[in-house]
Amino acid sequence: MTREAHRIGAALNASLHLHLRNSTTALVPANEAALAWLEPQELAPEMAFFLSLSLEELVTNCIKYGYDDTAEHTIEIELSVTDRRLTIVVIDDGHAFNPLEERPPDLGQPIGNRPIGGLGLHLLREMADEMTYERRDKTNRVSLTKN
Amino acid sequence: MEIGVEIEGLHAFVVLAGRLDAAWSNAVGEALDRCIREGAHQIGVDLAAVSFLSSGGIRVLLAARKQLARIDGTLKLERPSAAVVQILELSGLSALLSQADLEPVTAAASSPLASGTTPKKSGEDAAPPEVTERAGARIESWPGGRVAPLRVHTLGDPDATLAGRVNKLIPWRFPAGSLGLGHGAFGSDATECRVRVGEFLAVAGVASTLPADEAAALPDWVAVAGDLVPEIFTAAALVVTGEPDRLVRFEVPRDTAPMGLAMLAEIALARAGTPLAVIVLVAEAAQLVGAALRRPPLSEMPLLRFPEIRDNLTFTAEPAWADSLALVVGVVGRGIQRPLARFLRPLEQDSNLMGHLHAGVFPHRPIRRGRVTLDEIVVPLFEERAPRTLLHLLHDWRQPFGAGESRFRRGLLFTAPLEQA
Repeated sequence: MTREAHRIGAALNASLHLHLRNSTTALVPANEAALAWLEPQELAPEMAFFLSLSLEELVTNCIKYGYDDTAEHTIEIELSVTDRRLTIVVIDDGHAFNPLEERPPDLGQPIGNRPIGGLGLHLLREMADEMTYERRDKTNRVSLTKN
Repeated sequence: MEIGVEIEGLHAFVVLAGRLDAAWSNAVGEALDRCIREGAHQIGVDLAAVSFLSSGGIRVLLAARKQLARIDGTLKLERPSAAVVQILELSGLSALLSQADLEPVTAAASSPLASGTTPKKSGEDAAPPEVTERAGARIESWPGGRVAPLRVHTLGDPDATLAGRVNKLIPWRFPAGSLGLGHGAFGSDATECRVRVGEFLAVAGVASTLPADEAAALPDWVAVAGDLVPEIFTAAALVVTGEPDRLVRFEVPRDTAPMGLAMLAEIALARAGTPLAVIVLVAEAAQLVGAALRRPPLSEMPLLRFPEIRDNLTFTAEPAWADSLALVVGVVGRGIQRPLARFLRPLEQDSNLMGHLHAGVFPHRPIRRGRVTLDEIVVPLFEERAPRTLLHLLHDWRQPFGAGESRFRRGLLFTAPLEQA
């Protein structure tokens, strides 16, 4: 996240635009900035949880599996609130990956047989009102909205 | 996040406060891992103050639960916050909270070393162990065991091996229900095997060798599968028909020195009730001291001659392999006569306690509690965590620089009376 980006977000108030490196250490300050921005929007408390979970699951997925090289990449996050509706867009330049095409985990299996992992996208699909994916200009754009 | 850990014997209580997210999952995973390493089998995790849980957090809880399930332990999530409940419900993991998917723990599990949920085999003696203390360690001995001694055979000539004069390799098969240790290799014929002869051990239907022709080689292993029985071409070996069935479990408290190999040999001999005993030890090692052939004994050159010894053998000049899991197979005894005496070495200074023991060294994993059989332990050990090396265990008592002897914190000792064939 850059300081400049944070300032732009603060000025626009109803939206925030963050840039972060593809490193797990970048996620913590980005999450703090996002929650600080959300607070004055006065949405329901579970929105903060949803925002935090969305950023963590989408960004860590992207960092872990999104890139075919070890170079530094930038992940963009666009947050906005319109009519008390929160929209989260995460944009990355990793290889094409449509999270909507991922098979949901088999929740009927006994816990002992359950593979560890694969739950993050499932949680977001369950909690969001809408989830969309678009591949545009060699970037993945995942958008989540929640009322 | 704040992580509080209290360990009390078999039980651990972990209190988490804050965000259990990707950034904190490793630290929480390490805390749970430490509890298991230190012997806790029943872990409670208080989640009342956990405000956030992501898939990264669930991952470490599930991993700990799986690890505990393998040793009949339990992970109980207690007092979950509303956020935790919501995420676990959406993940289909509410059972983690109620433990409904786990077999109920029997009342006997309140005894620290009771078998808990370990299923009893039909005909297995379910009597409780006799508990004693030795050098500060808790020792449990289960009754039973066959009366007639097992028999040990010697194969080949150990002195010829150490002198680099191996002329003949003897093929020997190790089906389940037999064991052995010595120098040998896997292969289809003796010629092929000669260049690879190194340390080997075999027990419970698995044989493992450390090929000596390649300095960085890892042990190979073969398990009985259908008609396939592991076969080793051996230069010199001790082989035992039958498996030790007298079980002793030992556990050394954290503030007490880990138990030395010589002491465990004494315990085995006392349990066997004979001057000669066979040992299979599955134990968490505090340190291992030993050596391994790194050049096959074919060169007509004594392996132990200085300075070539440095190329011919690897030797743990300092205690090594702390926190590993060791599978030790061997023969121990007092006042032993030839021909067997040629295969044994002193286990302590100024003593007639002798032994020959080889260890397979594995990454750490906790050992299941309760009464278990060798078959239940050995094959999964190889299948789930391949051995890192094999060692011929030594006692290096040179003062002040000797590495000492191998020492263990807790484990299972299988033993039986033994006689020379």
